[in-house]
Amino acid sequence: MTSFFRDLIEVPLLMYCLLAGILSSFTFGVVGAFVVTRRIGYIAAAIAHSILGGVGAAIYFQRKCGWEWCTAELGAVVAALLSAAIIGWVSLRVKEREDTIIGAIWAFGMAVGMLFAQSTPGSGVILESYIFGNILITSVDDVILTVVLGSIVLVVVALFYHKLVAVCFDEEFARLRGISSDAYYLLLLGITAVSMVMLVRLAGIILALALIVLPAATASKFAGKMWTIILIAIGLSMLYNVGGLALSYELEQPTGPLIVVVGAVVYGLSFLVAKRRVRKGG
Amino acid sequence: MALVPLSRYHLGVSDVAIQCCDLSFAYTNSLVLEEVDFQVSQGESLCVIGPNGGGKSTLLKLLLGLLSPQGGKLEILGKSPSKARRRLGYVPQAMRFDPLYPITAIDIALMGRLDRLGIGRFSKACRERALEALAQVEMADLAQRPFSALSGGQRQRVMIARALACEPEILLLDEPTANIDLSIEAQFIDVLQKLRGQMTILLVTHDLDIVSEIGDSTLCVNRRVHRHELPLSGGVIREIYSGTRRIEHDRETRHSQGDHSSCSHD
Repeated sequence: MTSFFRDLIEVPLLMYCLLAGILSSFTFGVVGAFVVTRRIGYIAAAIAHSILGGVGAAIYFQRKCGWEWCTAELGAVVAALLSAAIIGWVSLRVKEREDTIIGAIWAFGMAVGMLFAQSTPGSGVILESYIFGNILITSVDDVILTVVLGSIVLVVVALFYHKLVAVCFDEEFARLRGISSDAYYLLLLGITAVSMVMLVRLAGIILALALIVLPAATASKFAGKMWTIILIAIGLSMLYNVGGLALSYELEQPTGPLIVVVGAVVYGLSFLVAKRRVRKGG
Repeated sequence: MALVPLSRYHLGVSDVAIQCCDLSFAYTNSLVLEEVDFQVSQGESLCVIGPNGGGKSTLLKLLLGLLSPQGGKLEILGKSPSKARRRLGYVPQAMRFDPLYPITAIDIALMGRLDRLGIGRFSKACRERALEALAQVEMADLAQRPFSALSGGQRQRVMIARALACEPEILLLDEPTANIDLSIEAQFIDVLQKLRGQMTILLVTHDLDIVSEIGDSTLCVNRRVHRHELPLSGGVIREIYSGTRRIEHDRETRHSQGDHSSCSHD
């Protein structure tokens, strides 16, 4: 563990990774708490998978059409927001089963990504970094992107916290008090989408869901209020990100899977601790 | 169709809370309500009863402005339902909520003040009003308790506090005692009896105990509506208490077949 902290000062790349991990924890803790308690984990997962389609398309247009502005990051954000909008619109307006549309978006995004990758030589490496994630390719730009997207999410939640909590608990009553419940539900899906883009950059599409869900799920076993869940989830998320990064550096193992394994083990242990607490209380 | 004597509420006879004329509503191809005519005076407690599928919940949604009628006129406090919405307090069915949702009693009560919230935090005045509403249902001590740690009866009282935090002129309750046990029901009746007369109460229920304890009159809803005056005579109350469910059931069956003779209690 000593070499990690020694190299941290000497290797700027490692510092960027650490910064990205710590800064994004705020967003993951906040959004994770809403995703877990509103039970929209699978929507978040579908959004994450659809990002591949956006990235594939963006790289294709950038290389084949010479659109320099059409970056992979932009493609990821657009695809995530579009998926969130479609899932939200379908579940609010169209009488279709929500899990069906989640599955459709999930697979469609992956399929589109693969098709574009096939037509764009050299795009495979970038797509792979999105599928499996790699915190170690983090650059200054990634840190800036994390800060910008994260700040947007945090400001939105800070401004509309009570309305979001109310709409998640009882959207009908909120509507009766003059709150546009549908708009706030779509807003929640929107900030979830933006968070998934950040998460996919760090941990990859496959592991993204675990990183947003596990800290908040563990936190919710010990807290009865939304804001305490958020605080604990932020703390856990930081611990997992920093711990996973340090472990992966020492053990020379991939970062994402290590973070997820640590998070899942803590979540598993939390059942035992929470059970004991209940027994003591009873 | 005589109205309840209003003198005990010190209100004029002209103070109409809900005016419903020749109202009809249908979901695609199935007529749920037709020729619905009734009037509720301010300060009155009206119990809405009727068989499942008879249109009670639909009527409540129309009153709340969540559905729009196909025909007829519906005025609440002299306005359209969606315009009068802010002056209503609504208590939904007990079992509709995610019991694991992380929210405290005071935060639920504060939902009644959502229309006064811009961005950011609730004002101090809003918090005080929410706490008062909890005190009205004797839940102020448990204001910081999470929803998941409350008993069924406490949850139901918090829901009433949330409606009271709206400072409503009309309180609407949708089967508030469905699926809750008898001891809780007794507490619930206590709370409602204190509110009776302070505001107009419209309560959808299957429970004749509640009808006799709280209602000034009843509205039987089964596609059409029929109004029956309370209080019930002593004999009828004894009759009801001796076999609540069965009598309710028999009466509903006859009502649905168009026979309303049994609905008259006087």
